[in-house]
Amino acid sequence: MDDDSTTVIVHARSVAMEAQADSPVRTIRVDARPPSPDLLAMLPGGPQETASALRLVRQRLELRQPLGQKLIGIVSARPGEGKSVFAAQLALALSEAQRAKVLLVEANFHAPSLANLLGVTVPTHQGFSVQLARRMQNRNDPWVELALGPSLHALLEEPGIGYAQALYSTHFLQALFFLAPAYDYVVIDGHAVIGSGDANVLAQGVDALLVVARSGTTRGADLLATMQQLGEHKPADVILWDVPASEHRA
Amino acid sequence: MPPAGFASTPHFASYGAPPPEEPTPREQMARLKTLARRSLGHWKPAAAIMVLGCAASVGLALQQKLIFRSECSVSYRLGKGESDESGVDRVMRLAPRLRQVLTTRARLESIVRDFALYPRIVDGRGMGEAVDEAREHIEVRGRDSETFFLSFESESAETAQQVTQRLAEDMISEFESQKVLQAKQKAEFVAREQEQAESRMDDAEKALSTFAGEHPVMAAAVRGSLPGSADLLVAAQQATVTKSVSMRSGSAATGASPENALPNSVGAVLAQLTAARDDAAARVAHAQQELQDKLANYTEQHPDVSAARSDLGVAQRALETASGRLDRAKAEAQATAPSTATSKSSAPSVTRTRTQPRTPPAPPALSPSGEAEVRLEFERRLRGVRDARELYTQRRESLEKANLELSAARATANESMAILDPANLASKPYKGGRSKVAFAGGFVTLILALGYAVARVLLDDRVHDPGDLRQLGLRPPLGVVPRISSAPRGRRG
Repeated sequence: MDDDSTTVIVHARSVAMEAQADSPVRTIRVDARPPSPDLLAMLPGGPQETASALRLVRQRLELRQPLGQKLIGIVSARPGEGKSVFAAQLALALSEAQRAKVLLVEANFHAPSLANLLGVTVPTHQGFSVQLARRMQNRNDPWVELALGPSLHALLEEPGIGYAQALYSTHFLQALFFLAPAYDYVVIDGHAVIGSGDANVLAQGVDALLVVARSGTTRGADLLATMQQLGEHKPADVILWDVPASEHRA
Repeated sequence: MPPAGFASTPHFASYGAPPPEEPTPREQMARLKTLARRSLGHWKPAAAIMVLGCAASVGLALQQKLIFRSECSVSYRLGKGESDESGVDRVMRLAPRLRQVLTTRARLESIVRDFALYPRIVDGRGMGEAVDEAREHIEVRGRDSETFFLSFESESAETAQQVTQRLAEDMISEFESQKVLQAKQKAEFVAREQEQAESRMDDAEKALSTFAGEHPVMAAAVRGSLPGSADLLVAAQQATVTKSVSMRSGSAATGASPENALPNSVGAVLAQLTAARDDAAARVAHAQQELQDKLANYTEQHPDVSAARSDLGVAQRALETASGRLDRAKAEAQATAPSTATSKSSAPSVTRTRTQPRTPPAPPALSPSGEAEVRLEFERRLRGVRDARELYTQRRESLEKANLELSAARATANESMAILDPANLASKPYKGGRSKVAFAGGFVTLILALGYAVARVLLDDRVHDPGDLRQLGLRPPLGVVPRISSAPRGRRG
């Protein structure tokens, strides 16, 4: 990673591994080439209005940090409403200028998209679900994290190679609880709530949930159903995302 | 709003913040502005609706049938002393009557046929429906007490003008006929009354003459007390003849011969009755000629024709009455002729009797009380004749007056109603203005387009802004992330 940059992904680099002997966590430094840098907003030259809005979200989350809201699950009512993009935007915003150490976790094993979004090539058999599967086979290999920047690490999925059922194992939550203490925030890209129970599994392990509602796409009835399904066990807030300029200014 | 039993969950109760309150007026206004702005977002389909609606409106306007209206004003002048009613009353009375007169089936049938009106209705549903349709387009309204407007509506300005003119002319003609008809009906009524009075007078005179015949001593009294008693005496003689005929055989036996002086009197009676019969026949001929004339100009249903037919009936009944009287008198005269011949041939004393002054037969001797009764009866019958004659005279004067009025009505009918302004040729349509239809269609289309846009917004269940979350009963969002305009749109995980 380029340490001089205020952002995390700028230049391509060769893959390197920071191997620590007998360490339970290994960090692999990866280069990232996001196909749509503007989409992530927090990169240099990105849209300032969106970046400002994300910083405002960051500030509100920081105010809640004393409440113990560290593990943040990102979900949405239905697929395709922007939870992965927002998770990446939020992780970049939280780790901006090394304000906080952030771990970005891909938990949507059925349709992972963070790796593609960030333009990261996940090392072979180092996807999160594969690592969980190894744990399920009683192989206590160290956890392999991808270092996207000095304060931003990620557990991503290798496209096409994954084990979706790993979400339902106890190792999933154990992994989150094991890795979280090393970070200020753990941002977990979750699932669509309606029509699946995966989001509820995620909700068990997180401190707070952010429900992404895409402006002009998400239906009010779906949003209410989402809130109802998530229940009142964990605080859930709505992030109104992808709001057109006209609505935003109004 | 959140579902029932869900409002108390943390998602809706807000963490550390007061629950959502009722929106302030400012917030409500802002919400309305937002909805209006979103409605404008649907301008493309709304514009498409406008374009299609306007095109349809223009098409409809071009297919709109134009209705032209032609009007004609007709003045109605009231005759001297004809009526005391006010102008308003006259208008209220006359306008419906004139319309009724104009919209009779026979009249409208001829108009529909002459001007080839409503050919589709005539072909498809018959003349009756066409007449009803024409009736709907005729209007008669009073402007003031002496002027009426008559109008007709048609799809052609020329047709409207021609039909209106025809209706006005027909109305005037009909009105004239009506006026004459009223006078004629009055004259007929008075004539019938006069006939009754005449019949009553005849009966009374006949009764008196019979009485005088039975009591010759009263004949002198008749002469002295009743003007025109000579005719009455002739009638008395005729009554005596009748009586002698009925008692012909009996009178020969008694030797009494009051018939000796009768032949001349019978001839006079026959001459009078013949003259009366001839007069009645002349009246019948005149009435027939009148009827023929009317039938040549009008239909069977025309009031003039009906009146002429009524005249003819009256004249024919009068002729039958006169003929009957004459026939009866002739028969009686023929019945008396043989006895006269017998008396000529058998009794020279009869010839002598002719040369000598006629003397009435000796009256039967009466007692004083009987004479008083006879005189009393005579007076009663005499009074009956006088009353009947007086009534007859009154009726005759009334008839003469009615005939004069009829003549006057015939002479002055044309002066009572006239066309003031002929039917005009309409220069622009009265109904069905195409521009109005086009503008109305455009307005309706605009409403539809606006309604469509507003309905789209109101029925839109999607979340657009924090206001929508508030509408759902949710807390304000933790963050509102604007759209990145340069980023590709599409599904995002």
